[in-house]
Amino acid sequence: MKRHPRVLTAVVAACLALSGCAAGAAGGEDTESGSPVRGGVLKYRAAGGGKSFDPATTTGYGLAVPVRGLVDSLVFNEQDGSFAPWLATDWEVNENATRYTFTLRQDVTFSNGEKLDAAAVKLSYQALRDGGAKYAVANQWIGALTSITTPDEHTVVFDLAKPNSSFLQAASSTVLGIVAPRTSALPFEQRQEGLGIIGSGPFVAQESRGEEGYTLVRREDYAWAPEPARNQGPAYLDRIEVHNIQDNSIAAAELRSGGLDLLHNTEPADKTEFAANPDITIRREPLPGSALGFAANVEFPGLDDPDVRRALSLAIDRDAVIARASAIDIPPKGAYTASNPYFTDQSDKIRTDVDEATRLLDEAGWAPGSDGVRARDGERLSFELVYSPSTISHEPNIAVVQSQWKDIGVELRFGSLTQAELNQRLQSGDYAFSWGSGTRPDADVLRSTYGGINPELDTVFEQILAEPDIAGRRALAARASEIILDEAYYLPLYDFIQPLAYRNSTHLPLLEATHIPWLGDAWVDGP
Amino acid sequence: MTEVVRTVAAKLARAVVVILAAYSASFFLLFVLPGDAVLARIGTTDTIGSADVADLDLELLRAEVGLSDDLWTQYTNGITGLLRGDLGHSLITEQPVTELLGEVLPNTITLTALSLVVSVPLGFALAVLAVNPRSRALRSFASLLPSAYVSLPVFWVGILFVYLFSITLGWFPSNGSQGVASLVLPTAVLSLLGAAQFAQVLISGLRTELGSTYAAVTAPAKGAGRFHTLYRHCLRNASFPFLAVFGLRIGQLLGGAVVVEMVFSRTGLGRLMVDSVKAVDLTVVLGLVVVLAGVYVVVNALVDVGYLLLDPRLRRRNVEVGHD
Repeated sequence: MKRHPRVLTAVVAACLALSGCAAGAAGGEDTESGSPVRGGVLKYRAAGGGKSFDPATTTGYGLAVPVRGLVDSLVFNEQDGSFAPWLATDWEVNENATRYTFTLRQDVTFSNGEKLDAAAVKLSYQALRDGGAKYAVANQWIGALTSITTPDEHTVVFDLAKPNSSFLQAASSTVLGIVAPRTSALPFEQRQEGLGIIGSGPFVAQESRGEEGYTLVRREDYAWAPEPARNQGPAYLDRIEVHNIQDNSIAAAELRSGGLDLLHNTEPADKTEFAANPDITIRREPLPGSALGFAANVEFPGLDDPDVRRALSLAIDRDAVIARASAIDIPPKGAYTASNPYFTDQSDKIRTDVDEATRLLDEAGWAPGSDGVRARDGERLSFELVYSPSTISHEPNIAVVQSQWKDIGVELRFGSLTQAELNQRLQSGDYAFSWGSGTRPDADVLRSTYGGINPELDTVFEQILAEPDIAGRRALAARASEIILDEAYYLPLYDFIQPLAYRNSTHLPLLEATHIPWLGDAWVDGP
Repeated sequence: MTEVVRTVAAKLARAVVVILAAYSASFFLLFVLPGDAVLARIGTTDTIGSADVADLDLELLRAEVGLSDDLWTQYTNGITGLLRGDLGHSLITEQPVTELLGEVLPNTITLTALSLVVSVPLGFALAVLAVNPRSRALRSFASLLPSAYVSLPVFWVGILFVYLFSITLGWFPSNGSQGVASLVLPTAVLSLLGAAQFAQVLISGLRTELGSTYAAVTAPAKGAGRFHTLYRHCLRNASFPFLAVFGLRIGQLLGGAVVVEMVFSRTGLGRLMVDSVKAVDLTVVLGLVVVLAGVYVVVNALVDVGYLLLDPRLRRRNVEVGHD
């Protein structure tokens, strides 16, 4: 382990101090009336949960929601993309986003009594680095880390070999939430056992019911909530019960009957019903990330021609697709979802023009064949869309696209694959379209899907990563989204990624940029 | 005594062969599944995109969990481990497979055993109800019921029960395996399935027996009532085809348990199996195969014992064979 000399402060030449000047979150929708009630139990369900709630491997939105109560992060990411103090009272980023220096609070302890200091933070990150591909998502987000140094007990410095302006967002996530040294010392398999996860959060894991869920209880001496939180003391809720109910429709019925307070992952029919249900609120803002749609494999025969891709995008009538979808889906306005802090409205680039689509295909030499599918030199315009089982509920909408494409002589086949097979197909390039979705409130969310296909776009992605300033990143993000839409690497369908639904007796006053609620402020009305 | 030893030894040898064969067949079949556990565990496309997948160096992890060895090495490692009683570690969570099995088996065994205990008498009762009463309408109803129930998908019945008894009436929990109340609905769904399947076999057996000479002519001539004939004579004979399919029915019951565990979100073998197959977690799937093969071996042994108990002729013949 290389140790850097204690001269970090010298590098702060043109340092952008992003520290604590970020009051007032952007979200207006979650304004809460009434005064918080102490006590009570929040019953939560997310799809796909298992025994493990290791923050570093719990990378999906729904499963990460309760983990937010268990671990704190260095900074708090607000809905407008800015950052607020949390475990770190102050931080500095150098001008090309390769060095991050955090100054830690001095009064924080983990629930097992261990002290949260620079050494603990270092151990927490180092455990993930050492795990390599076992913590694939965490390590992709951390980037090219070269060293973590601790000049003093309350200062921790991350040095990166390549710029990563997304590091603060990563550091704010549950995935990189800080765990106690005792947890950091555990081998991978013991971290997956649940109760081994010790954090400094407002809740403590008390009981594991194996695959069926777990229970968090309030920590009475909690006093280091993120700055934007109204409640700086111990949480209002007594307990959070996580129930891993497998079936979406049973879970939805439990929410209706009051067996659950908060729910993630809802079938389209239930979404529509919740939107009209007087007892239930379903959030209408899509999760921040990239819009939902088809991401093209530009090496696939046919899709290597930008005009073919453009024609396919022009042939999609999104109003018809949305009419078939649930009541809360909205048209896409860019490659990012409208709730992403780095979103810019580019809805003029997402059009429907079937005549132009036909003209483009004709001009490219794709002539209608005897089976109704266009072909050129024996090659047919027939494409397969691949996705994981979590996308199955979108299939009725995909079928609408299928029939729209059929009208211009293009065949679309689609079907879900297991995660293993999907990743294999993506890795080997054996697909025409993948289901484009990404849930990260960051400008960098597009790179993992559209990186490496266009040099100009790659340059923009690199510029994003080297630009720590939020306004600067937003301008670059708009450019990336523009290229992606102009080149039709991406055919957006609608702006929607599974939001939370909750009973009106449940109050979630503060959300972080990921739309994960801050559970220290959450409360449920008394009976 | 020696023939008992010899019989037991032969049975044990056969059990070992069955388990090894099941293990080997599954081992090679599983390699046909696309992708591998390492690809399953790196993340979803939601959090990790196609470019990331291509960039990740996964060989290190493959080597660590033993997936980069050639097929034959992996197989021999698996077999030698199995012979030592070591089923290896999950390729996903890295926990020992025996530990994972130990966590889920008690739940599944409780559920299936309880369902079996309820379903056998219930099946017999239904079968008797289908042949004994004087009322033709009642008999037809009782004989139609099992076929009707068997044709309903288990998950559908399960969801129906959840909506009715749990969400609407609030009598029992809809999910989990905490407490006795959580056993009621899954046991009901499963034991009705078991009872219906047993009743189907028994009904046809009983009808054949009731039509045969000893039951239709001899017994009434000796003054035995219909009920007495049914209980004393026919039921025992009708139990042979029942026993013959008993082993298979246990298999269906286990299959039903898998579905029921998913519907009721219970920790159990079913959930572990579905998750492991989806994630190509070979070691866990193979561990489950070993357990299931073991169950089949035991059930078949019990069926053999059942034959001996039901039919005195078999006991005598066995002894004669032993003297050869």
